[in-house]
Amino acid sequence: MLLSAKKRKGSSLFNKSKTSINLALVLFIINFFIFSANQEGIFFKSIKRSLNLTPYSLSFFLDNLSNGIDSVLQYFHFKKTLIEENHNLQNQLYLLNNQILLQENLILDNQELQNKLEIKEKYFDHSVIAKILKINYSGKSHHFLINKGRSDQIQAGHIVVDDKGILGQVTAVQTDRSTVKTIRSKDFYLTGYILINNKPYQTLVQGNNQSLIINYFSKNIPIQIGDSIFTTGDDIFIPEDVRIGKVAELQPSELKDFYKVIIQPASNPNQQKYLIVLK
Amino acid sequence: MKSKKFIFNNVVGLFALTLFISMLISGWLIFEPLTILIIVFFVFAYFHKKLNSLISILIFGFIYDGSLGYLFGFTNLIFLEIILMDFALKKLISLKSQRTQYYPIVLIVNGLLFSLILNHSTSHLIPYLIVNLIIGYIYFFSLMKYGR
Repeated sequence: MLLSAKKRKGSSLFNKSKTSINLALVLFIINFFIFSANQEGIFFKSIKRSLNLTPYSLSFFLDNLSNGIDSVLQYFHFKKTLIEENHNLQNQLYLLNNQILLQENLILDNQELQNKLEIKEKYFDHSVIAKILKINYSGKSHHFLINKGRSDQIQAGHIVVDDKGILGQVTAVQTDRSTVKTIRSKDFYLTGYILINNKPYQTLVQGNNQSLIINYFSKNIPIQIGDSIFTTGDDIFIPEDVRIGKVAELQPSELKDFYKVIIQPASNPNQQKYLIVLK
Repeated sequence: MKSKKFIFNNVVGLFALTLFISMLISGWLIFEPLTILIIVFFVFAYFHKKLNSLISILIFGFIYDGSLGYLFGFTNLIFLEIILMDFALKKLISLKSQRTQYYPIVLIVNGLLFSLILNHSTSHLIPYLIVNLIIGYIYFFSLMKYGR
């Protein structure tokens, strides 16, 4: 094991040539003096106080850290509970709003129904109140279904009215439902009269899918925009003096002496839920 | 310059880690005083990292003493004793390359025994030595593996 100095130098892994042994020895002696000096002196005490990272301070730090973690966990738990509660309350609010909407709808329905009943009692003895069914009628425009049919003695040709005026005519009847064609439909023809200066002028009214038209109306008659038009009652199903609409526009026709009159229908099936079917 | 700075910074980080682990373990009050970790750090930093600045290591020693409540100069005395022992061993013996891995362990054990001479307050000497050596062995090889 004991070898010469030359060999030893080359074989050592930890060859610290830069460190002087003399320096190490001097430092050792100085350190020993410091170590054996009075460590309770003001100088050493003040340094120790400034470096006072004792185990106690560490355990204090760890305790506070665990408290901090607990607080953070509690915060998240509390937040989660609050979010859940908020979610539940929002659901309840949504349900309550729905109930209120339903009640409002019911009130509106009730009002409309009462209105229709009053009309029925006042003007039309032999009539039935029917509800419009919210069914898309095979894409056929100006047609809809009502919830009364053959069982309520409804026949094809019966007239349907709302509180404003004539609305349409029953075209097909099944056991518990019927198809109604509105007066705006192109297939709808009706005789009516316009009251001008308390004098009735009879005419033929036809639907054009948007409104009603009178194709030829003499220019000699002093018709004005806003004049009302009523049914004449020449058909067995159509009663007399039911409002059809009012004159909205006077257009020139292909014949020189005649107007083409556009009539705005009084009724609007889109705003109704209940109708009166006249028997 | 850059590499030197990097090594120094790295050594500062290792010192902070050593100090933290020492305080953490001494918090249990079972293995106190636990000098083995700082001895391992010194041996690793001085011999393996080739940190030539003796003054830096001595400053670390003073900080360690102050932080853990040891007498000032305690850890530095151990460290300087290890350096002197290294010089002495180099003068006396030569190490074969395959055995050099045990050399730092010899130095660490030497440092531990010297620390016992300086401060022989422990009442359970054998368990103290066993626990310290196991911890020192694990820490040294952890540093060798991850502290590069």
